[in-house]
Amino acid sequence: MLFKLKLKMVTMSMTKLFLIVAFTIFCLFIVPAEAAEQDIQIHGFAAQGLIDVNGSNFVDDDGGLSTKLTEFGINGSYRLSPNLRLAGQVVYLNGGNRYEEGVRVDYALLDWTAYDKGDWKANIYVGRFKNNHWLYSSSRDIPFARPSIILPQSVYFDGFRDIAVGADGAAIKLSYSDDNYGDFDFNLTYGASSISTKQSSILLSDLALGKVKQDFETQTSIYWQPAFSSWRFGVSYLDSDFSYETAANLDLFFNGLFSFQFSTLNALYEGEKWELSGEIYQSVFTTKGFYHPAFDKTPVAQGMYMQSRYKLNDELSLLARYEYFYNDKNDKDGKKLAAETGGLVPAYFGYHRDTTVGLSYDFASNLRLRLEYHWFQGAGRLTPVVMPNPRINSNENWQLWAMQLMYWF
Amino acid sequence: MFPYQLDRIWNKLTYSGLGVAPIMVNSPEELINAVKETPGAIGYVENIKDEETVNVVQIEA
Repeated sequence: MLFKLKLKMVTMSMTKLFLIVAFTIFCLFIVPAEAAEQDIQIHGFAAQGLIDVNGSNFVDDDGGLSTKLTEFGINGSYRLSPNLRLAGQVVYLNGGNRYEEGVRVDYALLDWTAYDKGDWKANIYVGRFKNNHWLYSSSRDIPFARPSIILPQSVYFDGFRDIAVGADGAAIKLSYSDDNYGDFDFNLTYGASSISTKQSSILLSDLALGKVKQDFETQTSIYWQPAFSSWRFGVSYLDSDFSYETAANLDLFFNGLFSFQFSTLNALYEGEKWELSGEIYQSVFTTKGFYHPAFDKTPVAQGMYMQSRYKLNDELSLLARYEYFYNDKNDKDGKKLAAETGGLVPAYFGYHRDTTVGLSYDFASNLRLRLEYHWFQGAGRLTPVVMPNPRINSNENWQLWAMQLMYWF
Repeated sequence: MFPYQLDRIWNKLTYSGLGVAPIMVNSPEELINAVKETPGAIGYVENIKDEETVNVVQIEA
């Protein structure tokens, strides 16, 4: 058991609200009355913001200032025995067109510490586990833990959030700590996520009336932090298949198979004042059928972002980031895309670039305000990706600013 | 390691279901008491006066 001193915290009426929600969630677990306080932990967060998008349907189809930047979450952990634990998190999100509005379970798992001796530790997670493979995949849904309000969309694409955040299945985490070579983490996961009708229309199109299903997802990653180093390096690989079943004679689309391989390399430097991070990635996306029965294409998409954060003092930190992404490495400027669709889909749907500046101010150790501005070029990461909407997204250049106040406990 | 890095590690454990974050207490006295009363517990404080009932490991920056 580990104890930590509480720093300056704010207490607000929100705590009361959360206690009520916490209690409701608690009733879902069967908690023995005599359970010791340290066996049960309840945490959560609440974040509300304002977001103003100019020139795209990233949040709303009609643009303008929006309050659709709401995130609530509550999680619990209950220790059953020294090496068995139950944990779960429920979140409510409203992000407009970015993802489905509503409540979802981000994870609900049984954690078994299978081995914990000396330098080695092995955990097995069963249930709905959370993806921990990319640099920010474990913090992407936690407003205060991720680096910005809007994450780099090439890797952390909001349209794919509910599929990428975790999966129903099993996960293994193996950690090894070596005095000379540093710390190693190895993760291996296998599972699938169910895809709702709303999610499928976000990803595909309102016109896709059939059912899309994730058949499986296998993912692995290795992280290495050299001994006494401020650097950490990671590599990950994902393999997943999806299928689309057409809705009889009403559907514009045909039966289809989608296969997706996604590789990332990342590096993170955490200094006293400066922090640098970057991730490069490549995805191989095969579509067979769907548009028409003989359709068969495998574009290779590539992307990268580089990010720096600077801590001016304990309260204030600054953020700068540049992201570059294209859907097809043989069509980086999207001109082939425009030609193939007879100009129906403009060339700027082939790529996505984002220059971001932001700041983060901590009023207390559990209350933070974030502000950021994004300049985008291209519509390659606007939903729905399969059937782009050039009528609403008629600009190559678009911008957004956002502010979000976040509280956690 | 800087304090913000430690916070990040705990946040990651707490909000991703991977593990359990440390229990927060309000004062150094409370922390020492909690360590005393919990078998196998570890806690960290800036200063510790004469404490005979807990093992103290001093870390110099």
